[in-house]
Amino acid sequence: MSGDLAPAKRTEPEPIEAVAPESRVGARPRLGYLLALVWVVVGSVLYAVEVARLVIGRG
Amino acid sequence: MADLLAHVGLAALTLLAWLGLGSGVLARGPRVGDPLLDLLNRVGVGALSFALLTFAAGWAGLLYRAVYLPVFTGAALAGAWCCRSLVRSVPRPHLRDWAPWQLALLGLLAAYVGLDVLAVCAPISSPDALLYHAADPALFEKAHRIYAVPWNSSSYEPFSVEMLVLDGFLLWSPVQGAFAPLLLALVALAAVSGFAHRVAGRSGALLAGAIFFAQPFMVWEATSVFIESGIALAVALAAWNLFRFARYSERSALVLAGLFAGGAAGMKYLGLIAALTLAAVVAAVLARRLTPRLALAFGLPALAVALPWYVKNAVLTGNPFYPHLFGGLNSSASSELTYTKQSFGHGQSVLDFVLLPARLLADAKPFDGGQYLSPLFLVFAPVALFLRARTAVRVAWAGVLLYVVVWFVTTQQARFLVPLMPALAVLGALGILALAREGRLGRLLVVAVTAGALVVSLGASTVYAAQFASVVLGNEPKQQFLREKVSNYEGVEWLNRRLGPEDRVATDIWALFYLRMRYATFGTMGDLLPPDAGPKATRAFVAKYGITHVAILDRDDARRRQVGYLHARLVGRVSVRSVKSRTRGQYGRRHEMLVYALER
Repeated sequence: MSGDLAPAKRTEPEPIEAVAPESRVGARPRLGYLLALVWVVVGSVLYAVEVARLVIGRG
Repeated sequence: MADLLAHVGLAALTLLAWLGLGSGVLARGPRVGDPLLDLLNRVGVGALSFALLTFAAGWAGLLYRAVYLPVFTGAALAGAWCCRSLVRSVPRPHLRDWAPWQLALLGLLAAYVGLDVLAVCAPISSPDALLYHAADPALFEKAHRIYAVPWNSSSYEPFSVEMLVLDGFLLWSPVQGAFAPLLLALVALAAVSGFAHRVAGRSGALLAGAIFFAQPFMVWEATSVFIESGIALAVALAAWNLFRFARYSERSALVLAGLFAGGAAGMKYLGLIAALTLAAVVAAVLARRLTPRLALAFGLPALAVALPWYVKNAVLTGNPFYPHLFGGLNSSASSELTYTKQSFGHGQSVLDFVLLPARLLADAKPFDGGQYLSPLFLVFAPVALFLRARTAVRVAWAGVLLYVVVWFVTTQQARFLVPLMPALAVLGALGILALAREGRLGRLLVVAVTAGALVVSLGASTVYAAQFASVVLGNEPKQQFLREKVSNYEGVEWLNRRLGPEDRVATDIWALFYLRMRYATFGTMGDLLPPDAGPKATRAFVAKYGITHVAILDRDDARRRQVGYLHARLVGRVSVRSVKSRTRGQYGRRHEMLVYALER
């Protein structure tokens, strides 16, 4: 193989920030935080319904 | 217990063989700069190579243990050689530096591997496996060749994972074959954790691994001779390679991404949808940089790996996409598949799509086993999007949504969401870490929800795996286990006792894998003999397949009417029952299986 498709050089993997830290953010991320909290609570309650259904044998 | 250890040992050798063959194939081929990804690429390419070699050997009539074992042994030795240098270079983890919750997650993953090994070592009892995932490889092994199985339209799907199952049959036994999907799931786990480690460190790796693997759905999926774990692996490796290409401009990674996208398309038509989604992601990532050369670097390897399966179908049926698109061989197969697809989920309206996340969490049984999905995917993957997501997260979500839309309008089976799980697990881990970092409330919520979901999942997984413990540990006879776990197994035993190798039974039961005589079905998916077929078609069916006996359930009025068209003598009535739930031990009402001998 040569050119484009040649074996790549070894490059040390580096950590990547896929989601920006909160300290650098303003109003929009606070909305995101609130949205995230609400979604996690709603999602957990919904899943609790499924678990209850499973436990009583209707799932 | 000795058998269990032997199976695990041979499974480890299988991984070495995949690594050895993959290292050989990639020796002068594309490589990437990340050592872990490079290792997993070689294992993945090795698995794909074994699948294609078995496929080729099958059409050449070479499915003999004497042919397979030397190839396997050579590849395993090459893999062991590769491992020697790896063992020296890989740093040992310092577990003392790990936080208690990280150690707990590591222990949890180890426990799941144990549960999976226990479940996979039991005699095969999953209905789909008995119908074709294991039944067809068993037919091929017996005949020493691959051939069309016209009574089962699913056998026309691309069959790469089934080829690896067949390798296990050749290596030792059906249980060894059942290890193949589990091995693919374990390599997928390594890919998910490895990629998450690169983007979010050790915590991300452990969380993503737990979200992906520590769920009852994955225990069921990886140990029931299903194939979706293979697609998940192919998608995970394709996505990671694509990431390498996007971030480090490694064009060899783009070639490998294409290769694994093609690998997914060679496992099932579902994998083709995953591959096309990946192609769309590639186009989105490259955007204006997309050149014909780059498109070919992704597309050509994909085509090369997937093509054999589509050519096979074009040759056998005149349609590379049979039975899903454009008709072909058996039109009733297509219509039955459409009918079956529409029976899953809650509906296909816009409102149903909006309600999909809530239903997948709270009312997922109609998605065929969806109630056993981990909630962590859906609860935390969107969080990564809510909290100032970088471009990579947005692109990943776009790919996920594209696939979900296609899944929603085609067939809403939870199993068919498995190809998304690697991406959603990494997104979920990112969401968990981001939310925990945002404030005390977020951290508390993350800990409570994650721990709660993992505890519930572990409980359900343990209950599921425990049903296999007694037979695996030798405390329950195999036949007794099968009578309890396989629908109509008493009928199978009766047929095995009374019919010989010269006989051929036509039947409507699904437990084909355990039939020792030759068989055909009326068409378990896509009827070869439609229920309303008259005397002429019925006699033609019997003559074409050389049927000597018919075994049908007494409730099947259509087939009983058709038996009336033949010169048939009732020779047996066997009391049978269907298994509604293996785990809960729920059975259907008892019926009779009626066995007829046909006059020649």
